[in-house]
Amino acid sequence: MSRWGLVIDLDRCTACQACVVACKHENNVSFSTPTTTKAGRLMTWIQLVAADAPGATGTAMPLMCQHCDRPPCTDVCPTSATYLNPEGIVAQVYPRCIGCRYCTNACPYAVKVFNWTTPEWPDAMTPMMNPDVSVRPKGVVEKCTFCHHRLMAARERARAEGRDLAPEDYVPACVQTCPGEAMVFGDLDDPHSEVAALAASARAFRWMEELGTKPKVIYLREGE
Amino acid sequence: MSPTSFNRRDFLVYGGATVAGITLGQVGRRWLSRADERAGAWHEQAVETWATSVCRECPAACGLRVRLMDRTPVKLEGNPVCPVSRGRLCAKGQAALEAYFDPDRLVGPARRVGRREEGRFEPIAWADAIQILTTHLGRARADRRGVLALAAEEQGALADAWTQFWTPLGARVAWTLAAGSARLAPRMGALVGAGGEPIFDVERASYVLSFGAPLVEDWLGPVWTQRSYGRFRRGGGRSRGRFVHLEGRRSLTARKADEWLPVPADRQAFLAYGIASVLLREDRVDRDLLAELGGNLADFEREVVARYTPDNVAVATGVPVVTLLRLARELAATPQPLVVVAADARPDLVDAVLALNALVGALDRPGGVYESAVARTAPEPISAASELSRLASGAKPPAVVALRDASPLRAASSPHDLMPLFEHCDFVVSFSPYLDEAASVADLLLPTHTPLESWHALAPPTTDTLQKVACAKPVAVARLDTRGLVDVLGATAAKLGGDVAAGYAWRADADVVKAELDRLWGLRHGTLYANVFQTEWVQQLETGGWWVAPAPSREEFGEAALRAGGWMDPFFASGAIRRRLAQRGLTLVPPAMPIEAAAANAGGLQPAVVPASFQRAADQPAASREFPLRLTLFTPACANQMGSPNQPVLFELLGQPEGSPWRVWAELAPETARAAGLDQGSPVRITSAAGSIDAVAMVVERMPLDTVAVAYVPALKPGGRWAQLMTADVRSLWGRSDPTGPMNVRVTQV
Repeated sequence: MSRWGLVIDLDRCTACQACVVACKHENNVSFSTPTTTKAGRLMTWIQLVAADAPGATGTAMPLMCQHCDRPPCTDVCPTSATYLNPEGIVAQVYPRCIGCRYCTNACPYAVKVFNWTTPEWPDAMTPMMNPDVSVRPKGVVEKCTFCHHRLMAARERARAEGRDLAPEDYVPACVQTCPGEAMVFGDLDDPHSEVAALAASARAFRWMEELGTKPKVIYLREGE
Repeated sequence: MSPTSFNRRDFLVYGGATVAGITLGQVGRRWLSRADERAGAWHEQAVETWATSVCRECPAACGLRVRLMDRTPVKLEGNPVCPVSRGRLCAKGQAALEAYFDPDRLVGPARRVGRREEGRFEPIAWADAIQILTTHLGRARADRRGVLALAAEEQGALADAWTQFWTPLGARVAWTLAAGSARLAPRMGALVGAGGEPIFDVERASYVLSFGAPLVEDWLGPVWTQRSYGRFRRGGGRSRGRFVHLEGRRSLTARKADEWLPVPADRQAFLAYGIASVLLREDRVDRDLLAELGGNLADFEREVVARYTPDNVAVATGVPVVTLLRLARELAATPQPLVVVAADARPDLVDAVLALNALVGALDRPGGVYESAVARTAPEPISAASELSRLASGAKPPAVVALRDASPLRAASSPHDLMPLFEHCDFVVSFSPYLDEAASVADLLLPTHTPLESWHALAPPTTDTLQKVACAKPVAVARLDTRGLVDVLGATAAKLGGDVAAGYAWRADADVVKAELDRLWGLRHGTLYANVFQTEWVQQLETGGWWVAPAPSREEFGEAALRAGGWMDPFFASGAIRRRLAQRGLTLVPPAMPIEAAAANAGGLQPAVVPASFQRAADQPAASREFPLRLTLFTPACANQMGSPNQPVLFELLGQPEGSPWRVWAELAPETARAAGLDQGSPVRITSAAGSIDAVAMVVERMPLDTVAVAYVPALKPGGRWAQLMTADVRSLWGRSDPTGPMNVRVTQV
C-alpha cells in the first residue's frame, strides 16, 4: 500500500502561483469576488502564504491540506465525512458533510474551506468544469485531495493495460504544472522514490511540526 | 411490540406505510432509473482526448496539451516535448482556459452606433463588416491619410502575414515590444559584432548577479526563466547557486535572492561599472583570456578605473564600499559567474552588464552568455508606445487605426485618455476577441478566434540555443461567431483588389501555417518538438553532419509537427563569439554617464531614519511638501498584458502572499509607513496632481524611504464582469504624462 506525500522545495519555488490556478481548474473550485474575498471567503485549496520558515523570514510558501498522519480534523468530524484513508490521503466525503465546521476550526493550517454560498459559474463557463470532480454544494467543507480522482483514473488505466501503477502515472495538478520543478510527489514508503529521498534531506521540515500532526507535505527550506 | 398489542390503529399505520412505500418506491425507482440513464448516457458520450496548442497569454509561446472532453477543453497542461515549457505552465498559461470560456467575449462582428463615448454597438454580418473595413481602407489609401496597424510583438509566419497585409496599404506597422532578448541584441552587437541575441545560461551558472532582471517572474519567458532558476538553485549534482539581485523595490525576485540591494534602475549602471572597476583594479580578471580576445580593454580600463572609484560608486548608488568590493570579489572567485539584466533596461546598463560578463570570462561558456545562432536581420520594430505618444502629442493622425489586440492600449499612459487619443482618427478597427481596451475605442469590432480556436505558426523568443517554431491547429470549435485573423485579412484584401489582392496570397490562417510547415520541411535540418533525450540525440547527429528526416513525406511531416506542437533545430555551434572576437576584438563600451555629478547629487540615497520629506517638511518647496513620495510603477507577473483582461483567477493572485487578492497594493518602507500613520494592510489613498486611487498598504523592509511602489493592474470600466471589479488603475496618477517619467504622490490613510 502506498503512502502518498508531497515535497516542496522552497529554494526552487518562485511563488508564481501556477499551482493555485492549476488546482482551481482541476478541482472545479469556484471563483471569488472582491466582496467574498474581503469577507475572508476566498475559495482556494492551495494558497501562497508568507511564513517564517526555518532559516528565512517572510518566505512565500504554498500551503494546502498537509495530509497529516495524525489529522486533527478527522478526530472532530461527527459524521466521518473526513477521514484518513489507507493510502494516507485525508479524504473528504462531501455528501456526508453536515457543515458543522468543526474540522475547519480544528485544522491548525486553516486549509479547509467552507462553502458559505452555492458555488456559481456563468453559464458559458460550466462546460470547462472537470467532469471527474463533483462540485461541492453550499454548506459543505472542501479541501485538497491530492487530486485523488487522478489516482483512481491512473489505477484504472494501469489495470486496463495489465501493469502496476508507475510513479509517473499519478501526479496532482499542482505538481504537474510547477514551472520551477519545486514540487515532487510520490510514495513516501517507497525507499527508491525521489519523494522519499527528498523527505529525508537535511533541509526537510514539516510545517508546525511541533503540533505532532505528522504532515505528509514536506518542505525543503531555502539556503544551504 | 407483542402481537397482542397490534391494534386497528397499528394496522392502518403499517398498511398505509406499506402502500406508500410501494408507490413511492415505484416512483423513486423510475426517477432513479431515469437519472441513471442520463448519467450513463453522459458518461458514454464524454470521450477524453488530448491535443496540442500554443499559449498566447504572453509572447513566450509555450506549448500546450489541452484535455478535451467531447471536444470541449477542460484543462490545460504544458506540452512535455515543447522545449520552451517542457510540460510546465505558469499561472497565466493555466488561466488561458478562462479566455476561451469568457462569458463576456465579443459574440460576433459589430459596428459602433452613435458617438464613441456612448459605447453602443449593433451586430452586423461578417460580409458587411468586411465591406465597411474595405471602404475605410480604400478611402484612407485614396486620400493618402495613412493607416496605423498595432499589435503585440511576435515573430513567425502569422506575424508576417499581418505585416504583409498592411505594407501595400502604406501603413505604419508598430508593435507592443516584448521584453525579450531581442531588445538586448543591439548592445550585444556593439560588444562582439554581428546582431545575435544574447542567451543567458542561468541554469548552469554558479553565481548570478542580476541588474533588475525579474528572474523568478517573467524575464524573457516565464516558464523558461522559472525552470532555469529552479535548476540554478538546486541543479542535480551541483552546489546551490548564489543569487544577488538589484532592484528599486522588493519584488518577488528580490525576496528570493540571497542578497537584495535596493538600487533604483537609473543608478544600477554605476554599480555595474563600479564592479568592473574593482575587478580591473584588483586584477581579478583573466588577463590571458582578455588578451586573446583583444579589443579596447586598455582604454576601457583606464576610463573605468580612473572615474569609477569605490567611493564615487558608493555615494552614487548608496551601496557601501565594503559591499561593492565583496560583490566584485565574489564574482571573481566563483567558477561560473553570470551577470544578467532586465530586457527593458537602459542601453548604458546593458553595455555595463555585458562588459562585466566579458571581464569575468562568461562569454561562450556553460553558465555564461552565448549568442543566438540566427542574427536578426530585420530592423528594430517600430514601437507602438512611441506611435501612441506621437498621437497624444498632436502628430498628424492616421485615417485608420487597426488594433490586433489590446496590448498597445494596456501599456498606454492613462486609461482615461484612450478615447481622446483616437479623436481625430476617422476609423478604428479591433480584431481582438475580447471586451477590452481595443473594443472600447473601436468603431468596428471584428472578433478573431481565441488561441484555442486558432492556427499557430510563430517563433518563440530566444531563451536558449535552440531555434524553434511553434505550430498547432485549432483544438476547439469556435464558440462564438469569430473568424481567423488571416481569414478576415484575406477576404478584405480580395475586396480591395489591385496590388493589395495581388500581393496577399493568403485566404485563411491554415494556408499560412501549412506554407510555414512546407518551408520547415524544405530546410532539411532540425526535427519535431521532442523530449530532452531525443533533442540531444538529434543535436549529436547534426553536429556530426547527419540529418534524419523526422517524417517520410512533406504531408506527414506537417501532420506530425502539428501533433508535436512545433519544429526545432537543436544544432548549435558554441564558440561563435570567441571566433568572431579573434578577428575583431572586444568593443567594451565605456561609461557615458558622469558619475562625479551623480555622486554629488545623490544625497537622497543616503540612509535616513525618517524620509527627508517628512523630516524637513518645512524646508521643502511647496510641491514637494504636497507630494513628498516618488511613485514607482511595477507590473505583477499575473497581470495579463496582451490577452483577455477578464480572467477572475488571475485577480485572485494579486498581492499574494500578503493576502491582498483583488486589490491593488502600495509598497512602503516601514519608516515611511509609520510617518504616514499606516500599518500593514491599511487602506490608503494615493494622490498625485492628476488624480487619486485607493490601494492597500504593504510595509516592505528596506524599501527606499522616499518611494512608494504601486502595482499596475489594468482597470477597465467597459470591460467584462471581472475586469470591471478592478477600479484602481495606477496609470491615472500620471494623467496625460508618460508613466516612465517621474511622478510624486501623497499617501494618506482612508
